[in-house]
Amino acid sequence: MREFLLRLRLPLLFAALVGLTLVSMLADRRSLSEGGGDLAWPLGFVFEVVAPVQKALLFPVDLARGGWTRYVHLVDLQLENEQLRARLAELAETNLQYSEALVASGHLQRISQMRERFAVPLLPSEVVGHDVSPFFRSLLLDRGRSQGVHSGMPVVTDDGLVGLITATSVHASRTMLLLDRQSAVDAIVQRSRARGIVRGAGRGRLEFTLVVRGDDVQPGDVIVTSGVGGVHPKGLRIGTVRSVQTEESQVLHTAGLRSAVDFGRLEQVFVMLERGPTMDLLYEGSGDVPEAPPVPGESAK
Amino acid sequence: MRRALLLVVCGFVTWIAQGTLASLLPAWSVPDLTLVVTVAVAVTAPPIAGLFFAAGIGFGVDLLSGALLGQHALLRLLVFAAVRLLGAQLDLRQGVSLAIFVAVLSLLDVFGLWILARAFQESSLIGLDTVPIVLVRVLLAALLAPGAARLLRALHEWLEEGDPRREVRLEPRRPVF
Repeated sequence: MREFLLRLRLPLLFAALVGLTLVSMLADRRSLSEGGGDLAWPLGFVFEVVAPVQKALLFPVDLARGGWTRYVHLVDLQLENEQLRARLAELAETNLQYSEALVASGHLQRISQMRERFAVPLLPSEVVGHDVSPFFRSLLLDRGRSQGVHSGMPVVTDDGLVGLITATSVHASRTMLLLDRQSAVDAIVQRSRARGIVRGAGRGRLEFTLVVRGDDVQPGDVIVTSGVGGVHPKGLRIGTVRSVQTEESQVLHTAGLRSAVDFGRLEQVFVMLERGPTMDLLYEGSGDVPEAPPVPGESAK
Repeated sequence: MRRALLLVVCGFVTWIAQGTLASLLPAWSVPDLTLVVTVAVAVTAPPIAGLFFAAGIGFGVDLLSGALLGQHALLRLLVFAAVRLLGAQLDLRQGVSLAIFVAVLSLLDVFGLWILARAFQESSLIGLDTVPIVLVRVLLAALLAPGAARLLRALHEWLEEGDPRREVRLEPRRPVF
C-alpha cells in the first residue's frame, strides 16, 4: 500500500492542488460578492513583500517622471496663472450667486448640517503597483488594515471615483478599478436622473447601460454614482457621456463614457474610510438630512 | 534545500518583475513572466518542488491581479502538467521546440482564463479588443522561454556543483572486501 501511494504521490499531489485552487475560487467568489475580505497572513504576506519592493523600484522612475512633468508645466505657468485668475474671478461671482439662491431656499443650512454629520475621512494612499494581468484592472496601494483600510471602501481622487478596495493585508491593499470588466456601479445621469449601470468595457473604456430603455441621456451629460446598493456614496463623479448608441436593434440602451479620472496617470488616490455622504440635498433639493451611511461590506459587485 | 530556496527566490523575483513591468510598460506589451518561468521550472526542476512552485506562483498572480484566488494557480498547474507530460516527446531542451510549445501553451492559458472567468465570474474578460494583447503575449512568451529555461538550468547546475553531497563518489568497480 505504501509503495502504491509512493508511486501515485505525484498525481495525488496534483489532484490535491487542483482541488485547492477550485475551492479557493469558490470561496473568493463568495467573499467578493459579500464585499471582499481581509487576507489571511500567508496570502497577505505576498502583498507585504511585493508592495514595498515595488515602491522602492518605481521610486526613481516616478521621480524622473515627476521632475520632467514639473519642468514642462513650468514653461506655461505664467500664461496658465493669468487664465486661472480670470477663471477664479468668474467662479467666485457664480458661487456668490448660487450661495444667494441656496440661502434663499434654505438649502445652505441643510448642506452645512450634512457636511458636519458626514465629513468623510479620506486617507491618502500611493499607487505602488498595477495589475500583473492585462485582462484585469486593479491597483496595489500602500495602505492596509493598520491604517484602517478594509474591503468595500471606495477609492477616489479629486476628479472622481477610481474603484473599490477588494483585498487588504496589514500594510497594503488591492483596488478593483472601475475599468475592470467585473466592476459594476449603479449610477445616474446628473441632469435627467436617468438610472443605469456603469461597467468596464475593456481597453480602458466605460459603458453606461440604462435601466429603462429610452431614458434621457445625451453626449456631454455627467454620470455620477447613484448611492443605490450602499457600496458607493451618492454623487461621486464617474465620467461624461461621449456617445450614445440608440440603434433600435439593441436590446439595451447604452452610452460610452469618458472617465472623469485619468487611470493612466494615477499616482495618488484617497480611500474613503467611511461611506457617506449622500448628496441628496444637492440633487433633490428637499427632505431632511439623510441617515448615517451603512457600514462597509455590503456588496462589491 | 538550496534548490527549494532557489525556487522560492525565483517566484518572488518573478512576481516583482511582473508587477514592475506592468507599472512601467503599457498593458499590451507586458510579457507573462509567470508562465514563462513556470515552463522553465517544469523543464528543469524536480516534479514535486515544481508542482508547489506552479501553484504558488499562480496564487501570487491571483493576489496581485483582479482574478479570483486560484484562477491563475489552476492554469499554472495545468501548464506544469502539460510540460511534464509532453516534454519528453517534444524534446523541449531544443530552443525552437520549446518556443513553439510555449506559444501554444500561452494561447491555451488565455483560453483557460476566459473559460474560468465565464464559469466563475459570469463575465467575459477577453473580447475581440484583447486579441492584439493576446498575440503580443504569445510572441513574447515564445521569445523569452528558451532563455529562461537556459538560465534556470544554469542555476541548477551551479547549485549542484556547489553541493557538498556531489563530492561523494561511488566507485562500484572497486572490490568491496
